[in-house]
Amino acid sequence: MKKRKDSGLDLPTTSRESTKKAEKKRSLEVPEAKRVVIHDIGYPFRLRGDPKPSGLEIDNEQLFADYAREQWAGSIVKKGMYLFDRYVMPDFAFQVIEIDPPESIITRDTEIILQSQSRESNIQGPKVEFDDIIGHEPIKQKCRVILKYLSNPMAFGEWAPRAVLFHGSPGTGKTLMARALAHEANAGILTTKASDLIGTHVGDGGRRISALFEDARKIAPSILFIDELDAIGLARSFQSIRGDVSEVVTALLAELDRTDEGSGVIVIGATNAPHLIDTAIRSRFDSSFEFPLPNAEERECILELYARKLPIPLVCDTHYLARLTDGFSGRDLRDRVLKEALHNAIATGASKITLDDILKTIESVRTRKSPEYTI
Amino acid sequence: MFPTQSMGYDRAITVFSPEGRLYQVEYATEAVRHGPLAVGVKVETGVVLVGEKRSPNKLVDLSTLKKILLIDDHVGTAIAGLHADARKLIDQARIRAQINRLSYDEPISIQSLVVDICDTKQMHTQYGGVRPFGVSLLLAGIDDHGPQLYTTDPSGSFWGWKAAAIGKESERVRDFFVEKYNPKAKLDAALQLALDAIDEVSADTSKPEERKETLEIGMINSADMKFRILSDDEVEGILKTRIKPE
Repeated sequence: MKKRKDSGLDLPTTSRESTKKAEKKRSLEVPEAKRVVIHDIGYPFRLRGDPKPSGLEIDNEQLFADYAREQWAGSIVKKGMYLFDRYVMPDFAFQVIEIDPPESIITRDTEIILQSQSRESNIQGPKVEFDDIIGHEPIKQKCRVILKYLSNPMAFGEWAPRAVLFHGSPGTGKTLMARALAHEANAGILTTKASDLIGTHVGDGGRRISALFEDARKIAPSILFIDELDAIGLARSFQSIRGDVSEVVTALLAELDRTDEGSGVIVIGATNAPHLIDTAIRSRFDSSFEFPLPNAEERECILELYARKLPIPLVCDTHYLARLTDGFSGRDLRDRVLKEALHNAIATGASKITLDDILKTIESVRTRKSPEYTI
Repeated sequence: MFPTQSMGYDRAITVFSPEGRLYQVEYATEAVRHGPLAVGVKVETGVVLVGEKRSPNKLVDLSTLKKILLIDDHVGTAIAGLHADARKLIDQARIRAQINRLSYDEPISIQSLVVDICDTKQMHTQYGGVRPFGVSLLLAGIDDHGPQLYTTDPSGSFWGWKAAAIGKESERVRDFFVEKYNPKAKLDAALQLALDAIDEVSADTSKPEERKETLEIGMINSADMKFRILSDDEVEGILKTRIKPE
């Protein structure tokens, strides 16, 4: 953070805060602002590859108000206008969201209030409900308990759910389950990929984790979903490979301990390599659920679910198909079987997907993971 | 580059993992799960075995590949897993049965036979330089104690069953049996139950004319106490007259 030499109370003559050309003359006509409400916008630009700013943190509101007044005193502001913090490089922008009176000048008596941008749920993709997830009944049940807890965090006392670990093969619905939970929950959800938490410099990781948990506690009741947990919760025996990870593990342990009964924060970790996760972290999760590969019945339901969404009708017996696709995950069925078959059908101009198309696709994608004995 | 979950405890069969597991033996059990299904149902009047086999190639003459084999007149077995391993065990079991007849002038009890097979299997989990047998046997027979149905697994442990399944999807079939099994049923009904179990999980929906190639049936009843492996034509006949449950 550089400080400009010529900054301070002397405001530059040309300014991006518009409306100041006529300031001298107009200052007499413009009323003094009593109260300005702003929120943080961020930098006007960001060098590509740099991390997105993760919001502002104000510990002493009075101090911030003084700081802001000193900077912007004399500016004439209107609702919707941007104010730039000149002490930060590049200039950090704030937007005026409320001002009283509507067009007025900031003076040393103006009350300046910062409303920190509440970060919105960053769950992407279409909305998912529990009913869209086939199977995994015990996990859904647990999720319902979590929903109950989130609706009234105090009711559970010391028996509250705190952290849940999802593990299982890729494509079995771990992230989908978290999405569904977020959708059904009337609570905020923060999702993050563990790889985002590591950061560039040593020390970044711990700080980002603390910030994340702090955010979660602030918007409680909330769900904190950490995908690919094995990337940061790496077992100590592997930490020689990624030395900086040990600091992350320690931070994570400390934060997991701080999310106690009353905090209203539920941590959900997802991984497909549970054995890589540090045992101390694993023990902080009070329950862990395996997401198994779907069985024949579930595969049939999954196929039917996706078949309904296909743009070209699927003309074949899903019951039979389900039996042929032993060992396929839900994602395999959608992306490697149905999608491939659909693309083949589109390529050949067919008006429907037949059993033969599907059989050909299955034959081509089947990886011989398991031996096929004759007896 | 990354050490695997087992941290090398699967390198030798004789080394326990810190949790007390023998990975190689577990892997051998896994091999059994990749063999096609075999089921057995025991009732008061006898035992039925039904097994499926898979053709590695269309040109293979499946009648030369045996899923169900005879050990002695009064006992037969169905196998799931590596069939070369099974052959070794069955040869040994046949000899053991004959030794019993020569020594004691009576047919061997099913349990003695199972114990003998499992002793061999167990030996292959405790000595260095060998590998466990990648096969499970499902033995059916009748002795002084009545009809018997046993499974043996690669670790050398065995269990007696009322209805059992080994091989692919065997867990589901066991659940199916828990629901449908009736000890008072006739032998015919037991055969139908075994076929229902296979139908429940099998992907093979071909006509009886082709299905007889991949399906084998063996049964023993308490009237003649002779284990009989049904011919292709008999299997086809049973499949044709069979009413499939909906």
